[in-house]
Amino acid sequence: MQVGTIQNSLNALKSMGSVYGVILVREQTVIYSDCPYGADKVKQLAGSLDDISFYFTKERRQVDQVSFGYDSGNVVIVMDDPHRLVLFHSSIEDVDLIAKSAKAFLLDYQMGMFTEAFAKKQSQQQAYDTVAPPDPTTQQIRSQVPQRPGTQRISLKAEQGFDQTAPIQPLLDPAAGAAPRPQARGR
Amino acid sequence: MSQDDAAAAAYQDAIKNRTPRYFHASGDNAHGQTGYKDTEAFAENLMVLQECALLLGEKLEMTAVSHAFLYDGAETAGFKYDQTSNPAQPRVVGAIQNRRVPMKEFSEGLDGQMGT
Repeated sequence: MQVGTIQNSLNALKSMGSVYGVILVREQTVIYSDCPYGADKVKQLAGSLDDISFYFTKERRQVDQVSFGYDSGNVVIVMDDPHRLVLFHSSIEDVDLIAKSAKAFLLDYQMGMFTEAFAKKQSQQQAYDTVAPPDPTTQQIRSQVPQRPGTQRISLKAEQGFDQTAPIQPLLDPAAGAAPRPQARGR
Repeated sequence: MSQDDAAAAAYQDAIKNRTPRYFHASGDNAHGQTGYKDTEAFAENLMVLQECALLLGEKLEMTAVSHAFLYDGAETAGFKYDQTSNPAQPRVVGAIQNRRVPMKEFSEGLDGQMGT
């Protein structure tokens, strides 16, 4: 995902309601931080969040949103492993709106990462297909692999079917000695 | 009806109607109306959330915790300190609800239980 896109989206989150700080982390790595705390503190916070997330996972709890209130502010954390988005806000009234927007961002961000990884993998595969010559070993192995019995049986049936249906073919051309059409039976 | 039966009925009723089960805690004791096991679940949530709040608060230099809520699967749980209680022996009001309710609404529900 483009750095500019992330920054714009997180800036938009930061300008919501009473939000005064945003941190995006992946496990213990800080991806983005715009808050009143220094880099060291943010890194420590990321480590603690990772410990908390690990604890909940270990306990088989599906915790995806946590809100803490302190005397000097509130923190809402949206977790979607391995990412965590932390938002600092001053009013508890905003918590649901902030968390909802944070979840939407995280979903979008992870989808972007997935699409990017998928596109990269595909282009790598295409480059390999274009450059790599046919492998003779593979060709040889392929020719040694016996045909699936199921395929042969289907082919045999088709042949039998052709023989059986052959007399019907002249119906398309009555001049070529067509078999008599079945008479419609009256009552 | 025995006390256990009443607690079990209250628990079943709250689960069925997906209403909050409220608890109070002070000192080392937690009290609830929905039975020992449910109160124990609340006490565990309280300890875990308190620990998490203190751990993060320490890093952020914010030590006085006022509330902690979480969504755990389809459940909402949390607690709030009763600001009117004696700071030397603070009281806590908490709840568990088997529904993801907006945290603001959950918080207001706890406010309604303060001093009860």
